Amino acid sequence: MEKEQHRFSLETHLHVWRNGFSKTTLTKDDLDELTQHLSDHFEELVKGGEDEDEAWSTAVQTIGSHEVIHREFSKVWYSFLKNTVIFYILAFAPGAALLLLDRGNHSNWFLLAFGIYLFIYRTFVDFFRLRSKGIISKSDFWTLLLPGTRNRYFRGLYFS
Amino acid sequence: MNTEFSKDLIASVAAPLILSILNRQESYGYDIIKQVKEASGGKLEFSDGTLYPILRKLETKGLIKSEWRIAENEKRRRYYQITSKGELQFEQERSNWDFMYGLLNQLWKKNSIDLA
Repeated sequence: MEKEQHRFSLETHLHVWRNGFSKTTLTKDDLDELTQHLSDHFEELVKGGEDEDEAWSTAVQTIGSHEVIHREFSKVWYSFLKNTVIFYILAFAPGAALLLLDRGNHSNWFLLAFGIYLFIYRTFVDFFRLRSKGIISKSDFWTLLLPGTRNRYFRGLYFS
Repeated sequence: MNTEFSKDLIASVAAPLILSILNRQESYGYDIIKQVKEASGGKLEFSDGTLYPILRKLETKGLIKSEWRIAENEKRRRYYQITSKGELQFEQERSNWDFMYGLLNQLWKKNSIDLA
């Protein structure tokens, strides 16, 4: 029986490597960038004369393990708020839930909880959203408590 | 990462190195790593994948900005550029590192005179 020839598929290898991040908070852009990096390094090694399997192994080793990459990315934990859909859910779902639970009674507990949601919770969510997009710095946090400040950041907050 | 350099040292120079490269011209992740490797004669290497979280941190601080573009070889790449805030930070870092370098040099010279 003729021995089947081994064929290296970069796409398959990249796909499998990328799937290793399926349970992490890395965004699609992060994964696209890392995959492109891996592909660039692989191609350069192959051009330099390395065998494809060997080049892949070196490129994967050099980029670092999934665990290390995930750990380093998780230090920039609020970067997931760059995702507009996630931001909308985090920004509005608690408010909507409170309104549904109260059913128009406007009890004291509701007013207190809604106040906390509006003035404290939303300030933090908006702050981390703007930080994740590099629009404001850490020291600007308190300015978000001033009336009208958030209007200045309307586009940055609510659009991609 | 090269084992001759401590993790702490690499962590403290990573941001100034990236800002220095981007202060010369815009670049993308893989190219930044290559430039660091070449400039250090291959002695200093990041663990490639950890460069990107650092870029992300610099971006959230407003020191750099990024943009996805199609490169000349039809590849989709994320290019990084230094911002005006980043340029100021770069100047500050340069002055701090110059000072530290001068200080260490002064102390090393003093040590060698004492030993002689």
